[in-house]
Amino acid sequence: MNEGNPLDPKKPCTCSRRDFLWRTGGGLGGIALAQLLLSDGLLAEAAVATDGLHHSPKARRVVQIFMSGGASQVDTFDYKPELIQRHEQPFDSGGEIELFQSDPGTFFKSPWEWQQHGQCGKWISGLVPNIAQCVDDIAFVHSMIAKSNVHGPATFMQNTGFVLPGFPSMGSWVSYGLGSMNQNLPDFVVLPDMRGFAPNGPMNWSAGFLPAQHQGTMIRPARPDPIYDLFPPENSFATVAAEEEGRALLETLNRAHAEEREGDSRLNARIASYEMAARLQLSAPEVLDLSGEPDHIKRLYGLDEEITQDLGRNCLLTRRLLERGVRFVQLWSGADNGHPRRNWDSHEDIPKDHWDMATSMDKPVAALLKDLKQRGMLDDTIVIWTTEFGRMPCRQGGIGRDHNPDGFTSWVAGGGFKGGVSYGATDAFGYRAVENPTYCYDLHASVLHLLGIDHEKLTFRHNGIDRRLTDVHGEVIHDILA
Amino acid sequence: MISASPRSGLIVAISLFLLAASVLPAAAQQGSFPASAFEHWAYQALVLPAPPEVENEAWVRTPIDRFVLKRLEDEGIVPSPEADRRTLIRRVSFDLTGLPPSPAEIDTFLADDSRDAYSRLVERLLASSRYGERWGRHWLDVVHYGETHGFDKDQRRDNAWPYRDYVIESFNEDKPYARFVREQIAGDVLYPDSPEGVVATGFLASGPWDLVGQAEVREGTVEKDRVRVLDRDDIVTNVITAFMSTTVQCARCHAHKFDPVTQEEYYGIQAVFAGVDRGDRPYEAPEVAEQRKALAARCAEVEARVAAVQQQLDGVHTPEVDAARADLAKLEEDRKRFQDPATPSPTNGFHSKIGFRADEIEWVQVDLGESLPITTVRLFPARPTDFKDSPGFGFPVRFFVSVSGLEDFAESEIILDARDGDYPNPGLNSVEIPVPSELMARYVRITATHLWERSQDFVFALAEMQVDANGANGARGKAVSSSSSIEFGRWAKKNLVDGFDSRARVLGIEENVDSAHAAQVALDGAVTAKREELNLLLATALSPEVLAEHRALQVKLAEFRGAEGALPSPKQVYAVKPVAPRPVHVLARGDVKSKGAPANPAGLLLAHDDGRVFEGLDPAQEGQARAALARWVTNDSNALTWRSMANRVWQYHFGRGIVDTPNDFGKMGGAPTHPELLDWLAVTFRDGGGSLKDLHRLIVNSATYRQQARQNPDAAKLDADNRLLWRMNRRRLEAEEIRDTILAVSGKLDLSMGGPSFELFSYTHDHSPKYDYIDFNEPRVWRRAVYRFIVRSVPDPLMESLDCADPNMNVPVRNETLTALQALALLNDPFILNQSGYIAAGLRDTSDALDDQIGEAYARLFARQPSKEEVERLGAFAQEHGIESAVRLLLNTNEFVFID
Repeated sequence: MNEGNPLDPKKPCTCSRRDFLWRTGGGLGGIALAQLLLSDGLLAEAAVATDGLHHSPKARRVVQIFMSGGASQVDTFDYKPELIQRHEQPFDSGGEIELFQSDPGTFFKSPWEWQQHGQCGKWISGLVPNIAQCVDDIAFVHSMIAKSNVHGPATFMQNTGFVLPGFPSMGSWVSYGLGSMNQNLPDFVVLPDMRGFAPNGPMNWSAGFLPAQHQGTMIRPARPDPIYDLFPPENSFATVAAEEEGRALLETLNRAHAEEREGDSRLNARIASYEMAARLQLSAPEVLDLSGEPDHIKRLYGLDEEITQDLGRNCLLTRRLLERGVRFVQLWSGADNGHPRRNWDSHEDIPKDHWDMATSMDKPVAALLKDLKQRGMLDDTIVIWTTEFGRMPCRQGGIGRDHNPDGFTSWVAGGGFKGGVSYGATDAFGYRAVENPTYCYDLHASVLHLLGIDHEKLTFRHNGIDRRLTDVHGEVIHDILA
Repeated sequence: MISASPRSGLIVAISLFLLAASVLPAAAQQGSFPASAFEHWAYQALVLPAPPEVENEAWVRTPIDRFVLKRLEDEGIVPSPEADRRTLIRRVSFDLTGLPPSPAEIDTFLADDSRDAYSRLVERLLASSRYGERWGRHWLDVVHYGETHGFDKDQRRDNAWPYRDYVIESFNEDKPYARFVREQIAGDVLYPDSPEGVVATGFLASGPWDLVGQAEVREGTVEKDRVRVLDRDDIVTNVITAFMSTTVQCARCHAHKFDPVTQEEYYGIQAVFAGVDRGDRPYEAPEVAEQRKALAARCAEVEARVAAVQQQLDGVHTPEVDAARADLAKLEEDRKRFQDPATPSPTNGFHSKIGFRADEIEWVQVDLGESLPITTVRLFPARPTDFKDSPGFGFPVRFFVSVSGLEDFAESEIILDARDGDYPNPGLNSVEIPVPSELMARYVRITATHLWERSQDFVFALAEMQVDANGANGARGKAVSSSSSIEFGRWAKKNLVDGFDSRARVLGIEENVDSAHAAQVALDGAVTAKREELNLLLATALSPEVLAEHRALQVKLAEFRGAEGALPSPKQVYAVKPVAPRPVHVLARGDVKSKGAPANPAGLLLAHDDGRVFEGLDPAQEGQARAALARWVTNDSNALTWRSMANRVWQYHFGRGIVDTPNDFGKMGGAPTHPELLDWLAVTFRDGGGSLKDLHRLIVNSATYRQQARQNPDAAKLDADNRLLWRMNRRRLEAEEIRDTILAVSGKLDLSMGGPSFELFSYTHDHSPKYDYIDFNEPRVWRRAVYRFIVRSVPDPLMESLDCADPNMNVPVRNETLTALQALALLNDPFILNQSGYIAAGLRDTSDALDDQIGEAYARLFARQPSKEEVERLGAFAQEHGIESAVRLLLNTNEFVFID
């Protein structure tokens, strides 16, 4: 069980306040929630002296965009002229090689042409022409490595820092550490790919051992019930009038019950949870309703084209959620590893399957960057583009690529990251990270740093261990901070 | 400060560690811990403390109260008065059975004036089967029980539930705790005659399992090693956490930073499980096992007699007999050569997709191009060259062969039906299916109904098929279609009719009408004739009785084997599947590429030394080390084991353990608030035969447990957290209790026990199966929540919002959150609305008067009568919006979800 301020484990809280905040959420650093409760008179005696953050933050919000299945670095952002020159020659990595399910074929250059973009002159493949327009806002990390070559564990790692299930995702940690910025919506929202869940399913945004309010709240806009149980099912006795009167009567009954049971803050916290629920019922439909967005914005996100409209809608929804104070949004491009391919796991056919995935992702993601920027929101919003591992620069079968955990690209933008820079490097073919090999720990540490959190101090005691998002690792990558 | 503060302890521990690390890093690395590390309270031997003298003797009901009251008296705190009877029956009913008392049970209890009314109530509850369902669920939390694998491709474990039933039954029959522990670690080894022994090892297999890593990553790779180390880590963590409350898993990458556990010791425990794989394992009822054993013994006896007679027969040597024998051997050799071994096969044959269940249906069919008069269908089993040599690879265990004039087999005739019993795998031999009266058909299909088990998965494969018609193989080179096909490497549909089995060319009848086929027919005849000739010769050499006996014995043998085959097939449980132990090494930094010394199975020094070194183990024998570990864990000297379970039981009764970190008794864990009480409980539990029900009796009959939950400002000033138990702790109902109670009150609860789990989702089978939760609103799903199917990757939204245990991790204490999403779930989940309707219908049955209906609702949900004011308020609301709406409201009250 947690014992104190998550941002300062050495500072114990008084028990009743600790219990109270622990159960009701918003994180112990949840200043907004604490103020809300103060205004309700619930915290009158507790001096809510959260000491604030570990240091002054650059960013307040995070968007994590996850390419499920393993996006190829050598077809997108990691330009390697030598791979083009060695096309069709026998693959030679200069060392032992162990692939997931195949023996290495010949070197296989990207089917797409490369061009320089932006003031920084970054080489980007023709597969992602829209993101190419944003390179001056992006810091590329080309030397990512992963501790597993298998989708499930590797996807856990990028999300939670561990290859095993049961650990809180990054969004949960941020929610736990920083709490809420709004009184109407969850801190941490997840928008899964419409076609289904990525490997590990909703466990990718689980709160693990953190209290449940920090888990990602799933919104699936295309479904009749975008949020589970937000409203009663139709055709029941739950009429609008019954809802309103019922809410009032419930509070009366609960207050009377609590009056006879002094000194138990949980009873009042539960009453407050029903108030929050009512606010969520009001605010969620509003945020999900895109009809008020102007046409040029809808077009920017690709809502007018079939291939981009799903992720486009989720990206636009992301911007609306951020505007309304949601702290962390996780966006998924790609579902499970089934056939026909519906994620980035292009073992068989890079030209077709990567084209499908990238084209559905490129324009919406670029739109999100541009839109956040034009609204001045990119300054304090971090955008992370990531995947569980990369792909091999050699052929698998005819025109596929096998997994590659030894070198792949993630990128970050906004929120205090530098634009137009690249960090780390793979070898001449884009295979193995050779310069500044970087696990997700460093990326996570850097993101927490910009949020004002020292990743070594954001801890939670579970089964005898003070757990962190970064396990026992992690260095802030100062080279890419503005 | 009254209570021990883990926080300040933590700071001290960290600073001490930092100091030690900076001065003696090498020492810590080698695991030579200072003697003081072993002086921690949890590692000390158990001694039975005398219950202390107290001033207020009258308050004491069981010895527990002396320990609690002594602390309170020392601090000048007065315990709370006993709760009223309605509160008590609600509290203890939920606590022991997870269900509310019925209004009738409340009335009986209130009307019972006898002094032992309460303890008789306790006895009734402990004797109820509902007890095992409630307390079994606690144990399933601790062991992270789930019914899918988790990770990517989260496949079902349809045979996990027998372990869940085993747990429930063990609690209900109050199995001695030591036996319960031993069965779960090594029941299959220690109790081979009991089917429970196998089922109990479902414990070791209960956690997540990386299917892709285990089944798809290739043998001999670094990745495979990594997967296996992490898999064993899950098992080790499960065992040592659940039974000994020790975080041994912290020593995987380096010596434990806080507790005296070396890497050698950690990998020693891993080595115990070096031969443990997880998978479905057969087990059966004792009676059937008994019969099977008896039949096997009789078969063996007859076989011995057959062998004796055979020996007599073999002992006959006359020139004629020897010549006949030699001729027969040669003929059989010739017949073997019927298949031309000179031409190696370029292909393996046909191979279905890899399935994860034996009972998936797969089929393959050939289109002869036109309707032909079929005389024979011939199947050649596969024997792939790019897999370990497995004659009969992929040959279905159960199947049928049918022919049809229609491609979709809308009408068809079955020519071989092997669906009802397991078909013996033909291995190297082909299977010849004669078609009695020249059927006319264009399509021939083989449908597998029970697939062949490959390695933790299931396939259907066949090397070659021939269809004899008009004196030729009509299938050769024709179009093949199938339910699925992997079309990879040496496998493809078309290879089913390419003229090659997996190894060699196979001739069709048209190619050897004159030569090979005729030769084979002739050979067959010659073999039969020669055998008869030999038998005749033997008959003249020996007495006819011997031959008669030989025949009679054969008949008997067939009879026994038939009886054996007629026994019900063994049931399956997802449990330990023993394999030859794999080498386990100490891994520097936990890295599989940095292998150190081989690890030896042994116990942990921090616990106790009695049998810690496992002597006389045969490293090749899987199971011996598990048995040794099971004995060591349950040794009377293992204080951790007995303290751990006593503390867990206390925690479930009071909401907080005497040690508030039930999975961690190490330095980083909490210190016991009542150390003597913990030891008294542990020793009493151990020496009383490990009876959990006795432990419950001591606790729930105590004055401590029977206190009110109300606030006492004076006491709160001294001990706000109620660590000293000057009142009972109020608690929120758990997810299962809320669901079960709603069903109980609506009258829909189905109390049938055990068996396969009910599913709250619609299921779509795939590589990554889909689990989509919907409310079915039908009796099938109205069993107790402990019987629901637990999916690891996709949790049930209603249960998850109510903090049900996450099956991905060992959960010693449930979270108790109060969130907006929880409020929405209780307000709007279709289950709540549907059940509100059923509850309302039940209330209407009791009376037409709204006031009475409200009274009855309060009695059923809150175990009390409403006040006049409450009746008025609810009545007005129900008048307007229906009693259904009023019920839904009551299900959302604090009074419903909290227990005083």
